[in-house]
Amino acid sequence: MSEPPVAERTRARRRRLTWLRAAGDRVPTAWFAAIGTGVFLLATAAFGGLATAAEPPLAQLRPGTTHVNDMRSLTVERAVLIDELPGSGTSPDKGERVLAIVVDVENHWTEPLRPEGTGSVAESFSVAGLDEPSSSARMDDATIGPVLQPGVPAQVVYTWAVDAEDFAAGDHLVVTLNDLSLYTGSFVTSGTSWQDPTPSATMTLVIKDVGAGVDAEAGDEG
Amino acid sequence: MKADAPPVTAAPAARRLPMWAAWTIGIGCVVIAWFVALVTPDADTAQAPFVVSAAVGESATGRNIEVTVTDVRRAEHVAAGGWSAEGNWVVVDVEAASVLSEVQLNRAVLVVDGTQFSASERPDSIRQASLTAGIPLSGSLAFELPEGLDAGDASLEIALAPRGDTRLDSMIVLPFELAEVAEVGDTELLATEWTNL
Repeated sequence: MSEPPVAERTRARRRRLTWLRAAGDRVPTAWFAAIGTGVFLLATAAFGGLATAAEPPLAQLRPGTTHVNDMRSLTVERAVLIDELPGSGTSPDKGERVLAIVVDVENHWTEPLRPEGTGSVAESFSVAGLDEPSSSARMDDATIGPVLQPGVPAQVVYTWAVDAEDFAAGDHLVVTLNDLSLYTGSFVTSGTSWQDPTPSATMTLVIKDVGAGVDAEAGDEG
Repeated sequence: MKADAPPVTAAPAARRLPMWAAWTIGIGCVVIAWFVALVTPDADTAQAPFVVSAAVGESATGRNIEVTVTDVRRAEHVAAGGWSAEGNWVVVDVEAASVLSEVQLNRAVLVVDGTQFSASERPDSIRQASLTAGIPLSGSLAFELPEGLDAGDASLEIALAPRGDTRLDSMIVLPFELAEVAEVGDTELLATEWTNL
C-alpha cells in the first residue's frame, strides 16, 4: 500500500481542478454582450458620435512653394495657356489649346519614379476640373515622360489638351497636392509601389495666356 | 497490489507515454519547426534572379543574355548624337547579345548604396535595345546621379526583365567602387551598332 491506485490518483487530480471549474461557472458570461455594447457606445460617444467628423482644412501653399513628402518634393511654378507646345507630347486638335503646368520635382525615394501613370509623380497632385495630364516632358531637353532618378532634380512640364473656350487668362486653377503611401506587394503581388493619394495641401494658380507662344517661357525648348 | 486496481483504467494508463516524454517531444517539434521556418527562404529570396558576376572586359553569360562591360567612366558632360547634358553621370560601354532568342534588354540599373538609378532615357543608348542571339550589339548606358554622389558601393545590373520582372532569370551584375571609377570630364556615348561591323 505504498502508492494509491491509479483510479484514486485520477480522482484526486479531478478534485484539484474542481475549484477552477467552479470559479469559471461563476463568471457572468451572459453580461459580456451587454458590457461590450456599453463600452462600444461610450467609446463612440467619446469620439464624437456617429456624425461625420469635420476634416481639418488643408494647408494653403503659394505658387512656388515646395511641397515635400516621402516620395518627392514638388514645386508647382506656374500655369500657362498656349496655342501649341511642340515637344511637350501634347498636340491639340482644332479648337483646342494646351494648358501647361510647370513643376520642379525631385525624387526622394530610393528607386526611379515615373512622371505619369500609377504610383507616379502625376498622382501626387491633381488639378480641379482636369483629368490626368495628357503628357509630361522635361523642360531642358524635351524628353517625353522622363523617368525621375533619386535625388536628381528636374523641371517638368505637364500638359493637357483643353477646349479653347474652357480656360482663359486670369482663371484660377486649384491644385491639390497629395501624399502617397509606399506599399510592398505580398502573396500574389510583388515589388513596391506608391498608392492611395491623400490630399495634404492645396494651391491656387493664376493662368497666364502666352498666345501662340513665340516668346513664351514654357515654349522655348521647342 | 495490482489486483486492487480496476483493470479497465489500469491497462491503457500503463501503455500511455510518460508525461515528460510527451512534453519533450512536443517542445522538440516546436523547436525543429522554428529552425525550419528560420532557414526557409522568403519569397524574395526564393524567386531572386540568378546573379552572374561580371568584370570589366570579361564576357558574362546568363540564360539568354551575354554581356561584356568594356568601360566604366564618370563624366560631367555627356553627349550622344545631337543631345548633351551636364551633371553627375556614369557612362558604361557594353557589348550585349542574347543566347537563345531575340529579346529586349529591359533592365539596366546602377545600384549605389541601395539606391537604384535606371539608365537614362534622355540620350539615345543601348537601353531597351533588341538583342539578337549570338550577334553582339555595342553601345553605352548613361546613369544620371545626384550632384555630389561620387563614392559608395555600386553595382551595375543588366537583365532582360520582360515587363520589368527580374525574378528567376539571369542577371548580369558588375560590382565596383564608385570612387575608383575614372573621371573623364567630357564623354560621348557609343552609337548603338553591331560590334563586328
